[in-house]
Amino acid sequence: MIFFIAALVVSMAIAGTLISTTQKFSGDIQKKGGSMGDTLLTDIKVINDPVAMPYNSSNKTLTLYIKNTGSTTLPFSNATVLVMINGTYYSNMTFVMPSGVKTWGPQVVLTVVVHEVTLPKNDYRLKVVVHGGVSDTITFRIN
Amino acid sequence: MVATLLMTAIDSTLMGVEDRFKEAQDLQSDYARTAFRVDNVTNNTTVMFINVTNIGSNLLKVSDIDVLVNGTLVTDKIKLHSVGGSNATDLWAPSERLYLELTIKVNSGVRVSIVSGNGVSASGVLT
Repeated sequence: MIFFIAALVVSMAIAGTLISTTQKFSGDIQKKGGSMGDTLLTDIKVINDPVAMPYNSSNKTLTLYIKNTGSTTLPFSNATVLVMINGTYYSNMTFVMPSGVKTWGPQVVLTVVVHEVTLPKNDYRLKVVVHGGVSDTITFRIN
Repeated sequence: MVATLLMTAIDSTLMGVEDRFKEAQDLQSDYARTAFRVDNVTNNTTVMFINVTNIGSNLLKVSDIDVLVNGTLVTDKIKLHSVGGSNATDLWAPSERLYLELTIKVNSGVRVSIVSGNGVSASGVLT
């Protein structure tokens, strides 16, 4: 009788552990799936004119216009928007939203002013990376 | 029970991902079918006039259009638009001509870029 009760208790404990682990695993699968889906629907385009970049050599600022061409709202901050020019990462940026707009939703153009950029006359490769690792790359010219 | 829980999670996740994959494919397809041409850009002292023709096969929305003049975003300067002569529509269909008026003072020779909602662009020069 004692062995039977002990076996019952052990098997219930194993079943409980197995169910809670499976539930956690199921939740993780759904979470990962949702994240993959969000990435699929995330897209951006750098819409600057590559031969007329708004670069101010006096105060060393480059203004970028990044359009959300996906169908999700994107976060924007120095931590979630990465700008690289010819492979060099620039972290000093300010963000400007269109008047009356508070979130970077679909079709919204985010203006990113990159500071402390020195760009002599040349061709450059710009890469912008946003949330989820989604990126856009353009080649531009400084005249 | 364990198998049921796992199968339910995997099934609903795959369906969700599949739906979003289809939506992403639609976005890519729209991008591939989008093309337009800047026909001409003219101005007077304070207003710029732009004519653009939709030469793709995708229906575009005028409210999603952005305009850059000499590299600077001036979408907020659009004061009037019309498609095929009508200013009551936001839809810009294939083969139709979009007319834009911007309140902006510029000199001839400036570059004008038009960007659609999905990021396709075309450029012209003010004559």
